[in-house]
Amino acid sequence: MSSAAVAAHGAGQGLGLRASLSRNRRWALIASYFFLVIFAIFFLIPPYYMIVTAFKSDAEVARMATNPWIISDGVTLDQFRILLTQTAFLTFFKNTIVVTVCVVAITMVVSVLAAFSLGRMKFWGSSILATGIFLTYLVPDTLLFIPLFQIVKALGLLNSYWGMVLVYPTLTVPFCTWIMIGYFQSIPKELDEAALIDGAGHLQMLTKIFIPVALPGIIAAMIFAFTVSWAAFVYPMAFLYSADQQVLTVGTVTSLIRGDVYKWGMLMAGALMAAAPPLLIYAFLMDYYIAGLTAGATKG
Amino acid sequence: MAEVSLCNVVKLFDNVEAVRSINLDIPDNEFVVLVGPSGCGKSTTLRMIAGLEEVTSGEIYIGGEIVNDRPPKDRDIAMVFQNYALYPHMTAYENMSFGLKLRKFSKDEIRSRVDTAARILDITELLDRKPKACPAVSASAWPWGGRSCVIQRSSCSTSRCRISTPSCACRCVPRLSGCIKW
Repeated sequence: MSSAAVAAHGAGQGLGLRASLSRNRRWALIASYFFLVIFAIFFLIPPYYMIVTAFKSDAEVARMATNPWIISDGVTLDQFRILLTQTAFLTFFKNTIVVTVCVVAITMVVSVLAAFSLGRMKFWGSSILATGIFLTYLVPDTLLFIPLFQIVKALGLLNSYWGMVLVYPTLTVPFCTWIMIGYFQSIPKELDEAALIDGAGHLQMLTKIFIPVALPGIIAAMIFAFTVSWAAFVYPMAFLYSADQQVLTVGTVTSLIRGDVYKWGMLMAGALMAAAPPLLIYAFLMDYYIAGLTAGATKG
Repeated sequence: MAEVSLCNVVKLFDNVEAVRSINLDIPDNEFVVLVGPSGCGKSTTLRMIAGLEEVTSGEIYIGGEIVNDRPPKDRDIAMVFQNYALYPHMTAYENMSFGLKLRKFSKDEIRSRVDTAARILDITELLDRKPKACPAVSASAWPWGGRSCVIQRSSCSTSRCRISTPSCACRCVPRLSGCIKW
């Protein structure tokens, strides 16, 4: 075979391979879109139903003959008005914000310090301790609330949302510490060494080098702590029973469901308003969240 | 600068002998290059001098004083790392001035030293730029962009080392020794 024929044959093979790869990619994309659309529909149905119901009147919600997926009688803000003026919803909201801010602050302080010491300051037993911290996250909160009930009661914090500030970090600290350990370990060790030579102590190294460099990981951990604290249900259900101490998740449900009477319109309006802060936070900080969770997964 | 002496310095990692009883005298203002195959202990020796590795046995003298138990910051030493170890969230100016700030130098003194070092290494126009930050990956993925980025990072790292006017300066595995002015 002449060299020109060999070159032509090689080029033909190259084109065939490229066409095959392109075909494979097309099928992979079709399959991806198919499943993504199914998942998107599946997961968007509940929020859609929540939004639609929140803007309906009580009469329309109760009427069986109408289509529940659309608003037939026109959009109304009555549910929101009644919820905000005639129930303790704003108190629940305020309590939730106080609890969440405190829990996020406590979690960040504890997790960052713990992760820095476990991830960067190698000492005897540090890896066992790190694994042990993560294992505590695997204990379900439904198992913990009975012993925690005793502790909260002994501290006189039963039926006080400050008790939640004490209890929620048992859920948030282990996982946030774990995320942060992974993030801190992904930072090149030459940075600490350069800082040591520059004259930084461990605290300066943490505050001036590690926290700024690990900001995506810290933001990911903050979002996680925020979400857990905002959406916790079991502990407030078990530990809080006065309306003035309730948080959103339990307060909305207990005040708007009386026996077998469900105030669906207000429940959905409450759920919509309660879901807004996490949604906004995720919308703005999603990139940080993903970067933080996937840190250490790849080596540069 | 100061003289540096190593007397029977040994470094063991568990049972692996990384450095076998090295004896070395480096007079004041001497420029010494350690050359050898990978894994022969060059970097470990530099790291022991810098205080980043503990010495298993033997003594290290800097300026006539034993520094075995001194932390790196108290050895009056500077080091340029293999991957430059620039802080990705700081500008070149902040990278270079970080050590001086920690040592409580005045702002004017810091500005003057940074400007001088930057002028010598020809990176004055880069002082307000950051290495492109990507904290989740290794430092080798922090380019300033373009082919010359390695030289720029190297120059910045060298300047950082230079402006503290240390007694002794170490440079670990220089990749671009021909490009570096000291």
